[in-house]
Amino acid sequence: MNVRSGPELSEPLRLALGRYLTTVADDELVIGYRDSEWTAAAPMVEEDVAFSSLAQDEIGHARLYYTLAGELLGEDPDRLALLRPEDQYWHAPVLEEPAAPRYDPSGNHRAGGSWAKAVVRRYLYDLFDDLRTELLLAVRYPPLTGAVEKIRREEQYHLRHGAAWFEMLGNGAGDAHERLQTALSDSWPGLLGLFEPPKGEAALIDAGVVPGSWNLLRDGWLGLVRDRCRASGLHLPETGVEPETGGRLGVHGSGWVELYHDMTMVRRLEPDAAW
Amino acid sequence: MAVYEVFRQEELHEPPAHAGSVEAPNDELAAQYAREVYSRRGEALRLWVVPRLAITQVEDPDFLNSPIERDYRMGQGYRITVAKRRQLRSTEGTAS
Repeated sequence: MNVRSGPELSEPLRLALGRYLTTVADDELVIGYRDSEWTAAAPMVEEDVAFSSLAQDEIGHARLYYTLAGELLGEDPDRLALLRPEDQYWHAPVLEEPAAPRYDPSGNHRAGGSWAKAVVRRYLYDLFDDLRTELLLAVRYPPLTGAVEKIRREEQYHLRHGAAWFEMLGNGAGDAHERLQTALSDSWPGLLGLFEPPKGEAALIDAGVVPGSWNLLRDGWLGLVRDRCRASGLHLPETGVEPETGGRLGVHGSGWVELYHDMTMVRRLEPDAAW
Repeated sequence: MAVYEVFRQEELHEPPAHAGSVEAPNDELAAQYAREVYSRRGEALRLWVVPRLAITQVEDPDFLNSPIERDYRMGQGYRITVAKRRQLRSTEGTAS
């Protein structure tokens, strides 16, 4: 058996796993793109460099997942990343929301932005992704395993970065604590939406390809977030609120309209150009 | 916020050399920023990230260079000895 092609999967399972990995890739691409908007706008120049670097790492992870998904779907990874119709991206909507300040040539600037929102989203997403990549290691598709092991090694440094900011602002003087608490409460339903499973997950679980549902990662994540909040002087928002779902089915908000346009504008000028 | 000086070791048998500095709110972020700025392309085998305040600075010119002439303590003095010894040997040679 060719290791690259992995175990023999039936046609429907192959397509479902392609969709599953595209969903992971979309999360990584979208948060990577949004976080890259902090280049030259983070609180200090060293953080500009560090945060942009983490954002680029996420886009690198997206590329690995799109390549694997592309092999399953018979699709070019660049086309998967940048040439799908707007309503066929499967990321969680919380990741597409703008946080960084924005310069708009037409004069419709967005001043300030919310660094607290960027920190909360980034760290709590990384805690989720840590649990998700642990699950991905147990997916019965050998080509995935090596890629996920590498990604997890890099993610340990992302978690350290996120923890440092979360604790510093949470325990911080002035309005730092207040801003972080507000950002946490505002982002909460969206963050709970991360656990919405990708379409086709149930079939993959039934076939024994995927070991369990993203839904079941939620309790472990809540435990981690509760601990982190306690260490950072924050209170955990109400856990019973309705999560913001629909992203895994392509339902997105106004943040996505803006981001999709920004992200794909160059590629769409000349879709078949060789890069 | 504090300034940290960053030292980078590039080769196993070379000492860490000063690479530059970063400003950071704590040691953890200083380490992360040092990596991003001074080993972005994997240049470092090891980084030393040191709060600038931990460095004992010595810059008093009278302390570093004695105001009193003391060339006699310098190694160059021994060059004269070598010349003198050579001279002595050649004298001894003629004597015997």
